[in-house]
Amino acid sequence: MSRLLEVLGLKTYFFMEAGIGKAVDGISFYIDEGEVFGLVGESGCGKSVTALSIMRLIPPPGRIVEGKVIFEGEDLLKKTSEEMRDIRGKKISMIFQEPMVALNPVYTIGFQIAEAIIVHYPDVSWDEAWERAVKMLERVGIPNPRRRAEEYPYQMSGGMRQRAMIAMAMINNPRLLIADEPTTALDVTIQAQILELMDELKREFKTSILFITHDLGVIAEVSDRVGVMYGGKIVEMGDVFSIFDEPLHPYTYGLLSSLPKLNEEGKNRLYAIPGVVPDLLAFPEGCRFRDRCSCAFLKCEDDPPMIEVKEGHWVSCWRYAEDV
Amino acid sequence: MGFSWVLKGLFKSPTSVLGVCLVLFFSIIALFAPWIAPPEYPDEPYLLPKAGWSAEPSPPSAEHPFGTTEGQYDIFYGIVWGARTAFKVGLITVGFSALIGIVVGSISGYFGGWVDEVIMRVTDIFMAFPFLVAAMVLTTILGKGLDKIMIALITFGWMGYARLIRGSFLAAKEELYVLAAKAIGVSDLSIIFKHILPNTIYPVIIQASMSMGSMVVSASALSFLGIGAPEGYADWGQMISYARNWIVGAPGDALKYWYTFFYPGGAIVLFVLGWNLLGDALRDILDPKLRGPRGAR
Repeated sequence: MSRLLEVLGLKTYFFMEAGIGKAVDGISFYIDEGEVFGLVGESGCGKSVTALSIMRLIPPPGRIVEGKVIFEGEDLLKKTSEEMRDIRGKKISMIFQEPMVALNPVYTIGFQIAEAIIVHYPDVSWDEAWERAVKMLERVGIPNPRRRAEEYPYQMSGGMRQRAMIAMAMINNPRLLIADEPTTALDVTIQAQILELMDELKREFKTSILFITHDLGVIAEVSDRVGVMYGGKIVEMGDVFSIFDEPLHPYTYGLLSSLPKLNEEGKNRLYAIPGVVPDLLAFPEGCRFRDRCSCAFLKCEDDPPMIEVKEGHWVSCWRYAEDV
Repeated sequence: MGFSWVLKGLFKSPTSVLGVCLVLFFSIIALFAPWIAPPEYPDEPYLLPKAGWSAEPSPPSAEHPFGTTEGQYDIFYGIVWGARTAFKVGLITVGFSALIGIVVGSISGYFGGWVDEVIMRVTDIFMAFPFLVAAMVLTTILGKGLDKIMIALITFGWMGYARLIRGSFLAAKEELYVLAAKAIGVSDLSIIFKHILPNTIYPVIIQASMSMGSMVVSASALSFLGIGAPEGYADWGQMISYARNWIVGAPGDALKYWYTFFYPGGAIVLFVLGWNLLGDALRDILDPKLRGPRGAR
């Protein structure tokens, strides 16, 4: 397997009047071809900003300050905006958390999917684009696709719309699909269907996926490797089994402990990580988790390094440093 | 929500039916003017035919159903062809000022930042002039004529649309479907005019139909003041200006020359009323904030 995407030391800051919000502060990870990389973390930890940074769609006052996003051997951050526009939707596409509002209400589903083709392949005739849109709708499991293509978003349910979004994202056979909480707004049965569909499409089109979610159950289901984000940094990264079986970082450990367990008696209160996520503008110096960490010690006032504890399993915590 | 749905809404309340009827009525008059009042000089149909040289208006008669006004201009002819003038002035001024406003406002709202700042300050400068006075000065500078009036009205009439559409864009550009469109590689221009504009155009349509009336009133006012339509041109404002000396009537008979101001004045009132009622109706139908629960698509 070869590297498809490599993010190196990416920093995306938001320059606001109240101060600088370091939403993403020096994260590095990679995604291989055909791989699903899960990015997990609670709200506001910088997952979505990471995704938008890769797409170069950070809204002002945000700005990518530093780092590299190497996609197919080229740094996306060095591309012109025209080159970038050509990559979006063709080589990298994205699906969003809210299928209810991610489709334009005044155009039919078929129109929006066909447009995604025409934008990148102006030579394709409208009729052919429409045909391909209908085929893709059928592929993502929309019944009666020919009629559905002529319907407007409001005529569809949330699950249907997310399928349509996926069809739109996959229509140009992208190399990388960024899925920003694609199942969060859907109910559980639909979630399972959508996850299954994404898995099928991944195999069929050999697309890599960056899967962003706060749902550990979903992450365990779909990803090959996982990165755990906290306060704009990746605190732990490894393959899905080692993360779930032997979590190393106290935050990952805390997250896994706060999942309800089915086989336990209902007497125990659900564990919660103490404290709250610190304000974006006022992260503590050093390890950003140390205020909430039960095992923090003096050294944690310095920035912890990324340590490879086992092959492919990295953690950013002083507890695993050898020379403390 | 399609076109037929708007039509259905238009026929729900009596006031909107009245508005539609009035606008339709004037449209028919304007459309069939050559048949309703055949022009005496086919090359210049907007020139009012003169029935004589006496200054005093003469009352309605079989030959002149609405009578003649000062200078023996035929009032009936003036009303009929004046309807055409009114539509011409209304549609062109509203159309162009809306167009300018839409382009300026969408660019301002979409790009934001210093682009927005510059465009909006220029808009403020234009808004700082009192509308009618500014239009009057500009018409005087440009010279007499209906086209000059229209240029003046457009020059000082686009700011409302620009502000309106900018406001809608500020809200709409944050919508997820805009980000989704960017994420499939759609260009900025295409996002502005193809993706956001259809979602924000309704307030402009409402505003445009409301200002059809007021634009015609402003044009009439300029004509009334004598800096608009050329002498003898079929224009309601000008016809009222011809009535200026006769409004007080004659000693002992205040309403002696009632027909000189009644018909053109009535035409203007009904024309403006029609467009305002239509605009109100469109707002009730198209503005989701005013729409009742029953109206949901």
